[in-house]
Amino acid sequence: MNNFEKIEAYLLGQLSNDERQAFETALQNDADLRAELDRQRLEHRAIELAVRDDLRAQMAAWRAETEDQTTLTATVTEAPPMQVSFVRRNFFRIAAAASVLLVVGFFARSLFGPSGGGTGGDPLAYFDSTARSSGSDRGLPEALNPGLNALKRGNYAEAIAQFEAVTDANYKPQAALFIGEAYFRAKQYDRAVAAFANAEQLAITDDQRYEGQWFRFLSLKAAGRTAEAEDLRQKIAGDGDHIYQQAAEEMR
Amino acid sequence: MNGSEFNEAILSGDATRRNAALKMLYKSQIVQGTLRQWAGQFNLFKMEPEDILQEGIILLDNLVREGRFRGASKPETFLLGICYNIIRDHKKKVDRVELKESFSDADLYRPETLADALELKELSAEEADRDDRLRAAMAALTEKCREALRLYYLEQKSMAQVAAERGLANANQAKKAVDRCRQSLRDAAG
Repeated sequence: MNNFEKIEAYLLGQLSNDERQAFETALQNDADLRAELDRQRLEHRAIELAVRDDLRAQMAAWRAETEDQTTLTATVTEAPPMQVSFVRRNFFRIAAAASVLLVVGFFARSLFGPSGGGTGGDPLAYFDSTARSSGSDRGLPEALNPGLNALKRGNYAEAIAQFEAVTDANYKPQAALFIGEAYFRAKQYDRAVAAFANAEQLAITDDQRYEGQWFRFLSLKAAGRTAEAEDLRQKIAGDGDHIYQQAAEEMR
Repeated sequence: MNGSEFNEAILSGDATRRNAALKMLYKSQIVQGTLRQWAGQFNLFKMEPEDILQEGIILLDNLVREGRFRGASKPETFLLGICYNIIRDHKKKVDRVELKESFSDADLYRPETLADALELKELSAEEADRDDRLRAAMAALTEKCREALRLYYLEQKSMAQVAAERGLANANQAKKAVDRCRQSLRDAAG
């Protein structure tokens, strides 16, 4: 075995105990051997650094793969999924507060002005702040666009027909809510009550069910079905999970 | 993947197997979740959990390649033990992991107890300067030289295997090529 091979074996821990002791004794007496050992140690170190740097580059590539998923850039705990629905709940609470204005405004008109449709102060105008009919920019499915366009134009009969024509079971709950909205805007409040009740039955998610209940409540109020409205309001106000629970409390 | 399988994958000389084992560790939800938890618990402000994870994997890889990994432990546990040590003791520029003499297999099952059985050696300023010079020397080599040295040193190929992979005539030619590259490295390192 030449010096290079002996040194390699020594650095890689491949010598037996006896061989290692003999080599270390030789090192003590041979300056050239010690210098060669130092040079080979540096070579090993250089390779080790290259291996580590390659691994760092590889991990950077793995991180880029999962950038949208899980990263550890934050030093705080990653936001749990619930926070997304919390944001949604805040949105709906803001929307619910605006709904309160809708109903309050309606009753104010009933007490102090002529009933029925009209210009400024029309309670249906408040529905816009809670309405889901803002089109695809809210991530609504394309299948609902014909009905949404008709709804925005004020062509409620056509909107209802378009929403009733939706066959995809995944979109039926949303279509049912829009049917209720169309009836409400058309001031057909009893039909709006029925439509929102149907939306509750078709609901796939809790939020869809909560929306159906809330707008059924508003429709009952608008229809003058006070006792039924109050029963439903109490039910909503008593449900801690309901996204309109606070709004229902405020309308006590 | 258990400790023995991980050990084998790293030492196999097969770059694909080694990469797959390290990637599994990197992407482990248990490891990442635990590090996030510790980040909050220890109120890290100068260390990112991502940096700690990468340093931990580099140190574990080195430990395995030097034949010092105890395969009885799950690699995730061992990795977390290294990371826990880095976080708890605010280690900077850790170069290698040593197993303390008091190390026993009973230490292997929880990161916190494993951390106590490890000693993390930090780089001195002088060693850090030496590394900078060596990195510059490696960067000065040709890609062919870096590849030949990687095959020989990291993947521990024989000269015949290096010849086959580099398209050289025989083992003797491969040895001459590796020797030339080593000399280039020495010259660049000064």
